[in-house]
Amino acid sequence: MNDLLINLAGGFGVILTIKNLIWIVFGGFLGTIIGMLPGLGPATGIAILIPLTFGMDPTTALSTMVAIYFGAMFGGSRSSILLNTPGDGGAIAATFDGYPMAQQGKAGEALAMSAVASIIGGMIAVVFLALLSQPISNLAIQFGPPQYTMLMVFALVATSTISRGNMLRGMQATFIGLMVATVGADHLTGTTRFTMGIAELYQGIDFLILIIGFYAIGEVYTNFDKLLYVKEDEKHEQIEIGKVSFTKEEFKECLMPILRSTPIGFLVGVLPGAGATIATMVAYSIEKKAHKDPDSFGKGNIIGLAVPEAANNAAATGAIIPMLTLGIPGSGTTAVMIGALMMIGVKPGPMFFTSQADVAWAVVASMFIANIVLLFINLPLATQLVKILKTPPKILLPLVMTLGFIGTYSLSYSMIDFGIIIGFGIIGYFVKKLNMPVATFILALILGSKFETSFRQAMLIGNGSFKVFASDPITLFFIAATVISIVGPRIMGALKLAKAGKKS
Amino acid sequence: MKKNTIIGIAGLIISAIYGYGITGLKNPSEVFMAGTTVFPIFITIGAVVFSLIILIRGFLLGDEAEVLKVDPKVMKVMGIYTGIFIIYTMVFNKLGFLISTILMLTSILFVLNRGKKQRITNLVIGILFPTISYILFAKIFTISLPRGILPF
Repeated sequence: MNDLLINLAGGFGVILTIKNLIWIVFGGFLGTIIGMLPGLGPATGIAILIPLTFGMDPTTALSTMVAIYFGAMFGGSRSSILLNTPGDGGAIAATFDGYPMAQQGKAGEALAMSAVASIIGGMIAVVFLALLSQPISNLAIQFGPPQYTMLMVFALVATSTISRGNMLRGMQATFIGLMVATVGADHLTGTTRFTMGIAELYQGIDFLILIIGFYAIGEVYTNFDKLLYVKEDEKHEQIEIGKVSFTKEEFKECLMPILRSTPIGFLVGVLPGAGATIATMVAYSIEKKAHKDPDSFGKGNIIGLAVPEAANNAAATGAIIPMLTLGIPGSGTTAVMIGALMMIGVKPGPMFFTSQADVAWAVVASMFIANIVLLFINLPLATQLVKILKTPPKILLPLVMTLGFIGTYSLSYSMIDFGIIIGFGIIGYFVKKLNMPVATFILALILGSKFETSFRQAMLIGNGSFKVFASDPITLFFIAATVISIVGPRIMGALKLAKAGKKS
Repeated sequence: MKKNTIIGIAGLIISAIYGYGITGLKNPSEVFMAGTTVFPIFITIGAVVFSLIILIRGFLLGDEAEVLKVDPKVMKVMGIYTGIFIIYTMVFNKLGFLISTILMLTSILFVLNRGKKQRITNLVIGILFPTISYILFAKIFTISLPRGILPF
């Protein structure tokens, strides 16, 4: 415990500089704005703001990204409450009771409770993160190639099966992502593969470019489906915000549900692929079932807003753990973050908390600061910030695309990459239309090289035998976890059906 | 066409192209399973298996909600945008970031944000946003953006 406090104090010592604080405030502000825009989430926010982090030292870059990420999570619920349009998946549950509250003239209360529940959930989750990161890193240091291979099998399979409830498409997207990851020089032998003689592909396909294509261009195209049918003078229903605060009684009423939903959100967030959407839904349904008046949920019950908001931010923090300690992003947003970090020479993984301890603990400290900063941005500025929602998406979305091009150019100074983002923007649109899980593809793309290297090293250790993957408790644990991630959702689904059948 | 059918066929085509690429590779390793080709072979098999299952489901299941519907209006705008982006790519280095981005952004704003009242808004944003971005990224963050025909 003493070590933890010393490490945290060291982290605060590193992060508490004027420069870092300015970037955290700026990142949090930009993240909030992007999160507020319907259809654009934290992954898009980080993807288009990557150029901002170039030239920064790793601590500032990572803490800025964390601020953008957390800001987008805060911002996502603004549009849920006021427009009934969630900024991203994690903010969907905030529409259930947040929007009815706004319609009942309680928009100010809803915005205030959303911000406070988010900060409580976020802060507690950062404490969990601080407590767990070092032990997980210590365990992961013992991982050799077989353990890493099985860990990645688990992460990829779990993301495919849990994330969208569509295992087949998820698995197919995983294999295609792994295929794209093998383009370029083989890391172990130097042999070039699948380059079709194109010199630019020898270094492999830069996944950040693909991510920008998918998120900055593809996501915007996806918005066209609705946007092109919005009439020129059409305006959203005007909602009076009123005073951004809530009563003591309301806070007392919400506190225990917030404290109950935070660990749920955190644990679900740590699982690869599960993410904030599932975390908020699980927390909401548990609280609804436990409430004395479950029928009031969905009709403007303030607890129904506080619970998913706390779980949402806790899940966002939980998702950072596998990224920092194992080098494995568990969600689309952390996948984008890990890509951006690699660009600036930061390699998260088991050694991160040892070899770059100052950066690691400074980032943990920055999470505390980001949460506090976001509370100050989101409470007093709530009425000002929501004015951004009045800016027509027809203007904002072309700006997002322009930032995507700037980001791409700053990554490689190559015109070929412009072609790649234009192409993957179109592919991204169709992939979304076909309900294929983009995050699964991107996760496979990012992990592909590491996965192949670990697999082949394990094969060398095992002299070509697969027995090497069943040789110790850690690999066996990951095999069991993989099987559960495949079978578990199906058993749960079957049980639900059986229960529904009994009722009817 | 059903979504599963499209996804299945697309997966099989990608797998076939990728699989063909494997045939041209050597496997320079004493342990065959640790060679260059083994991992690609495994993932090709995986992709083929899942693509086939998805394709078969596409043939067997008759869910109307799972049919891909493409909106011609969206396709038209996407086509125009793609054309503008291709021209942008071609002139980016020659004209420089500022001029080419002003032209690109103003054009895509005019395509999306139509109406007489919007003209001035489109022009102001189309000029201001690239200018501010240029100052921010090129001058403050010192990211090298092409000057093109401009002296600054």
